[in-house]
Amino acid sequence: MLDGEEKLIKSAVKGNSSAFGELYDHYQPMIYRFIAVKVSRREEAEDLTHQVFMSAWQNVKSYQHRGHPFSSWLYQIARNQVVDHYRSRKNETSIDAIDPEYFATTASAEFALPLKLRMETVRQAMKQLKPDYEDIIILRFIEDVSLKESAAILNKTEGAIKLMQHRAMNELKKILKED
Amino acid sequence: MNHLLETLKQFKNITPDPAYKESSKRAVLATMPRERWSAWRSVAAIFETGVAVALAVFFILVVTGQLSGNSYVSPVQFSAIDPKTLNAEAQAVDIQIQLANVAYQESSTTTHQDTLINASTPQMVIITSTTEASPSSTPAPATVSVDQALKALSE
Repeated sequence: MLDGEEKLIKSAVKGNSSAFGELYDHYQPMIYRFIAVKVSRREEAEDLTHQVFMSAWQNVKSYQHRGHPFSSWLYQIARNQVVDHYRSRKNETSIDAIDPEYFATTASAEFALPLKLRMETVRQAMKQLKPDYEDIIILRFIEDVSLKESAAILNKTEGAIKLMQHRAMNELKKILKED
Repeated sequence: MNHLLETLKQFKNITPDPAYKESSKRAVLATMPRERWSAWRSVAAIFETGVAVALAVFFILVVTGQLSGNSYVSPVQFSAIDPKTLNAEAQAVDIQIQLANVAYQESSTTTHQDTLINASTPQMVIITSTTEASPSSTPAPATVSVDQALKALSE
């Protein structure tokens, strides 16, 4: 959670763009990562991240602080954006029908080739999971989001989150054929 | 298991392009956030729209003259273009002319007799005869204009 976040949020809710700019600087990379892992291409991740923050800024005056970090609201918007994105693309093309080389340029990060291949394998395996399982793996094992915040983002109890993350990891290992 | 967790941690190194991040931020902040919905604001907006439409219709009716026939509703009463006033003024003018003619006839009996000035056709004045008593009488023209006739009468 960002230092002085509540003050920044209150200021942003009043329409202060510089306050929202500070929130943007802090949360944009993690929202971008969340989306980049879920979608196939960097351009898509950039477009969707932009739409998430555009939507957040447009609706910031209706934001109600309920004790959760501001990021949980942003993650919820991001989840909805990704769902809408795939729903609108459903009739255009199937992910499975795309050439694997298409995924060669994912998000911007320089990795060694073996690691890159391994990451791509894991990412493809994650795509076979249920959306909630994919989300919980990203939140809990990539972003290190707390149980409480994960529960707020996914609108579930903390107990359900614990159970979900266990099942999600088992499912992922099964797909990757790992013990 | 650890191998998988380590691989997952590597995803955290994914970062957005700094140029994209900055341009996206500028584009987002260039817009204005939407106002929060409230019942009072909606009612006010409906009222504003209703008043605007009512005023527009009212002025259209005034401009097209649809309300001018009703003196109770018509907001603009120009006495200069009121048909009743105009008619009354026209009547008054006619009366004055008649009174002037009467006065003229009374005063002109000693000087001119049998002078006919056609009020309905003021351009043509026909003088049929002049009095014999007039010492400086001159032969009258058969046809004179109104101005000439008035000049002659004033003498």
